[in-house]
Amino acid sequence: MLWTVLKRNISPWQIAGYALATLVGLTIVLIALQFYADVSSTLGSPGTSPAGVELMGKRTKVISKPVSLRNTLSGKAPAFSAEEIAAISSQPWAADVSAFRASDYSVWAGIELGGRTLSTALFFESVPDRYIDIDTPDWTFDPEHPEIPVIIAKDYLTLYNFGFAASGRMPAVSEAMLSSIPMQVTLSGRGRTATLPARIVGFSSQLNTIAVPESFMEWAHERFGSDMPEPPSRLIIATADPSDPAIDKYLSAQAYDVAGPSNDLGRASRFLTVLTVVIVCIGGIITLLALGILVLSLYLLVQKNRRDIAVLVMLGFTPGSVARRYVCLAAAVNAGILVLASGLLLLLRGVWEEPLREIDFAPASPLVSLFCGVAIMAVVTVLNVAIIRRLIWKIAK
Amino acid sequence: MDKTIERITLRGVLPRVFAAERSSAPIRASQVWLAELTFERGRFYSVNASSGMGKTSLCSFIYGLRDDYEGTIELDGADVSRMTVGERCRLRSRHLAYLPQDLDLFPQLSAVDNILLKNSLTDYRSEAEIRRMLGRLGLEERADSLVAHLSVGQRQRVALVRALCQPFDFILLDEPVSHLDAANNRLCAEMVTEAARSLGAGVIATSVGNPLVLPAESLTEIKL
Repeated sequence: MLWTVLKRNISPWQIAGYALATLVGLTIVLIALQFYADVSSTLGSPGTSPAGVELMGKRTKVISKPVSLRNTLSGKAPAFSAEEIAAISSQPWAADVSAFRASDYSVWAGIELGGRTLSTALFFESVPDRYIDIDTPDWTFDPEHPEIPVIIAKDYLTLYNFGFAASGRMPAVSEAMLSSIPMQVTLSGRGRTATLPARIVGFSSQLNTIAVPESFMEWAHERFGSDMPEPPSRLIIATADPSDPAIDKYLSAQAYDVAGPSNDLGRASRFLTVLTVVIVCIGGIITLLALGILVLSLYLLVQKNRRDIAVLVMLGFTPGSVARRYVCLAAAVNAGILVLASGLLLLLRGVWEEPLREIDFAPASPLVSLFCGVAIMAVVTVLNVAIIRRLIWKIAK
Repeated sequence: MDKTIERITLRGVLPRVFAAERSSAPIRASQVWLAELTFERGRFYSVNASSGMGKTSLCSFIYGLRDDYEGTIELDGADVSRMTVGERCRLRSRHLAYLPQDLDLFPQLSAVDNILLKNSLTDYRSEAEIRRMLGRLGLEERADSLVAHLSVGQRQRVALVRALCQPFDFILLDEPVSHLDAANNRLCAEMVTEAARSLGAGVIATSVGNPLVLPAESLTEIKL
């Protein structure tokens, strides 16, 4: 009966207008957030989806200095000084900077392939394990049972299969086949020689080198390495945001070479972020305008029902009990909007979800976007409640 | 405030609108304005005055609807003007009943629904009891009619029944029978007297010449 009194002057058209405007605004916000989450979730897990990593720009960058004529004449690779490394580390975009450590001893590897023994001089490099993009339990070295796990760049295998082998002299090999072939590695230096078994445990799309575990590199250096370690000639940098234009700007200014493709696609990622922010802002503005419509409608409704509300309070109804009816209405409308917007999000997400999967992207869970929707509508509802209570208490006083 | 209210005390009360007339003959002659006056629970008071002397203001001040007055009004020592909205709402559903002069009924509701609305707050009477009360005041046939379709006299009786749908220590009746004939005045007075006596409550009724006919033996006449 109380509702019979209070519902007078409620305009279904005003509620419908608010609901529609909020629905449009909230759906735009949720779609923008979900699309960004779907694309950036791949960016956040390098190695799991190479296509995504390539598109968004790598989180790690490998840099070196250009080789000059002086380096050629001196026989030494251009190296980074401690001051240069410290300067890079101090950049705001540099989350972590580590050096490639190269083998300072002789490495000779041999394999049995197609009944023939192939042997070649090699080199090893190591980087901290956190930069290894291959998830394998074999990435350890035990001096008691020494077997060297090796990760080689995917590009090396590609070069072999489509360059060297394709010339007709050698068979092409797959990653699985190459991994199963036992290798013998002979290390020599400081007058010592040792031959150890080795095995390829993975192929990296991130590291353009022949990588061994740091623990092995340390062990081998103690036995075969020189007493005068060379300064690092390559650095690996982890960045929080690979699309940050400040990275390219700094590296270009210092004339450092960056391994791999240029950062043009990283810029695309930056553009995507900016676009997402713009769309979220547009959705947010529409939602805010819709909220404005609701606030005006509430003012109008309470003003029209001012006399009835005053009489109810005169009869002894508390402002809270009067406000509760309007609060329930606002909460029900907002809940309906949230459900519809969530449904629309899940429906419209199908438009890009499958195409993204086809290009090796791993779309994110919609839970985060849905949680954002719940949070936005919770804030909107709290605002509604505060406005309703304020208006009714004003009349009650 | 959940205990019974025993007395309502006015000390030097004057509506602000009369501030410039405080020395005028009508104000000086008033037994209410600028006086010390106590209404006691269990007694009946008939406050009589000519138009414009502030009868409705007096009821609104005591009921806590307005505070545009000087002086103090206390309910057992508690200043009405200092009560919170929550305290006033509790007071209005448990201790003070009120029949306003302009009745304040909801025209979109039927007579019985107007009363049931108040009763939903207090849960004081059954619907059958409410219908019997309406019947006793000659409104049995009109109980389910929209208030908008009732005459002023009929609305006054509906508002009276609504005022009686709660426990109270005092009931404030602002010109409750101004549009009723003598027979209906008597019926209303009987109903108010029965309800007040059953609760041991006080009655304060205002009038401009057509007073509610309350029992003379416990009636105090007050000139506003």
